[in-house]
Amino acid sequence: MPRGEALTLRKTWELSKAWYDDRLSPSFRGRTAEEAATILGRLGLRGAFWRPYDP
Amino acid sequence: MLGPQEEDRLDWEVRSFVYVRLVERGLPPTTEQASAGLGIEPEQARAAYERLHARHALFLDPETREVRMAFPYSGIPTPFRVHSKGRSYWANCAWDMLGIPAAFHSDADVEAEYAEDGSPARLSVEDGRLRSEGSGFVHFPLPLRHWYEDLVFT
Repeated sequence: MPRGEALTLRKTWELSKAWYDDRLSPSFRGRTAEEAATILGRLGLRGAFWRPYDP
Repeated sequence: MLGPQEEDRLDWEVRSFVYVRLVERGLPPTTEQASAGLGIEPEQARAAYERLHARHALFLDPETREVRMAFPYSGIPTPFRVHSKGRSYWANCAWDMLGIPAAFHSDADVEAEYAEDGSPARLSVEDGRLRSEGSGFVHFPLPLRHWYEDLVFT
C-alpha cells in the first residue's frame, strides 16, 4: 500500500463539502484541474500530492 | 448521427438522469433503463455513458460498462453505507461516505469499517456538523493526479 496522505475525519468532511457541494445540481458540468486546485488550496491541501495535474 | 453540441447536451441530460434516478432508488440506472427513461435508443445511452466515463463524469465497470461510480455514490455494495433522506446509499470510499451528505446538504448516518481491523465505525452528520465516536483518519493512497489511473484502488 503506498504511503499516501491521511486526513482527519473532520478535514475530510470539510473537503467533502467543498468538493461535492454542487454535485447534484442539474447545471453541474464537472470542473477543470485549475478549479479543483483552487478548492483544495482553500483547504490548505497543496503540494505535489494534491496537485490535480503533472507540473 | 448527432453533432458535437447535440452530443454534449445529451451527455449531460443522461448524467442528470443517472443522478436523479440514483437519488430516488439508491442505485444508478442501467443503460437500458436510461434509454427507456429518456426515450433514446439503447446505443445512444451506451455511447453517452462511455463519453461521460471518458470525461470522468461517471466511472463505468470495466466489464459490464454500467455505472460503477457516480461520485460520491457507488453502483455496487461497498463497506460504506450512508442513510440519508429516508433512503440508503453505497459510497465508493471513506471520503465519499461524507460526500453523500455533502451532496445532499442533509443529515446522514454512516456505517463503515476501519480499514486496519474491520471494526465498525459509526458517524453522523447533523445540521452540517460531523459527529463521530472516534478520531479516525481517511487514507488517500495515491496522489490526486493519479486517481483516475486506478479508481477502484484509489
